[in-house]
Amino acid sequence: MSWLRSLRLRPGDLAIVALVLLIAGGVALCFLPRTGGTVYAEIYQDDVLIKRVALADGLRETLTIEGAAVNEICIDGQTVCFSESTCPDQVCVRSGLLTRAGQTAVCLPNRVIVRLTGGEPEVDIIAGGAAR
Amino acid sequence: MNAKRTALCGLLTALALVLSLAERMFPLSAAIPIPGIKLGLANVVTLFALTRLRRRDAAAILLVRVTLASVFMGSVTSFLFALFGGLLALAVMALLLPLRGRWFSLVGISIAGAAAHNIGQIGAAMLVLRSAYVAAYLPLLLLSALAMGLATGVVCRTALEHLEKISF
Repeated sequence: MSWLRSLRLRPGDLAIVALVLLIAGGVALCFLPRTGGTVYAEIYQDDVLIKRVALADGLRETLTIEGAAVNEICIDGQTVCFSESTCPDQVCVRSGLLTRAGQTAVCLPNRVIVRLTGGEPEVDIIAGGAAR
Repeated sequence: MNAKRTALCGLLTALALVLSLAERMFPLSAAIPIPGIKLGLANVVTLFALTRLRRRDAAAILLVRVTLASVFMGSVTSFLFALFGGLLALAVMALLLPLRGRWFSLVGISIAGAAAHNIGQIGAAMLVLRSAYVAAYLPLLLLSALAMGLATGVVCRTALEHLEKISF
């Protein structure tokens, strides 16, 4: 690492590099979720798809699914959760909020699966060559 | 002294212009597909001018360079991007230079200037295009600024050290 020492950096230089990396990371984080595309909530009972909803801001929906137990599933904006269940173990309710594509919550007694899947990525977010 | 300063201003302006033209021969945006990415060689001149001349001289060199460069090869929008970026880089480097030595080295100041140039450039693009999505390019531009700021800082320091030896 002798080339690094030959730069004769001062403490403030490292702060500058850290700040630049921080800004880059922060801006990158702001834009990551936007490129994910539409997320769909899929609800299965006994391995049969009973509902598929495209999540969107402002969407509010509550579903009641009856079987061996009664599940109440709450869709709120971009998130889905088991809000209430009459099942004994309550694993589904404790799974909490599903927010990202790929997440799953299951109620085994009722044989209900809630899954978030990513749709096609939106292509028009960063139109090519915009800053020419 | 005044004549020497005027001559140096002219010399540096010509040098900055040549560097702007020369970096066109390295089509960096062909290798890395980000609009607006470039080597930023003219940053060497801004930094050099700030260390050897007054701030207003450095600002004048910058303005003339940006104007002439866009007359020769640019468009109105590229003029705006370069102007915003250049002025922000100049301001940041002028702010940090008095702290040089104890807190910052010339290399660090150069990196800060390169990053400021990219931020100003993207800021101008956001204003012109009225879209926040342009900022999606900023992270990669900033990473390139780390590398290019390092390179221009080393070049500028080497030049200054040699000039000090001949008591320029």
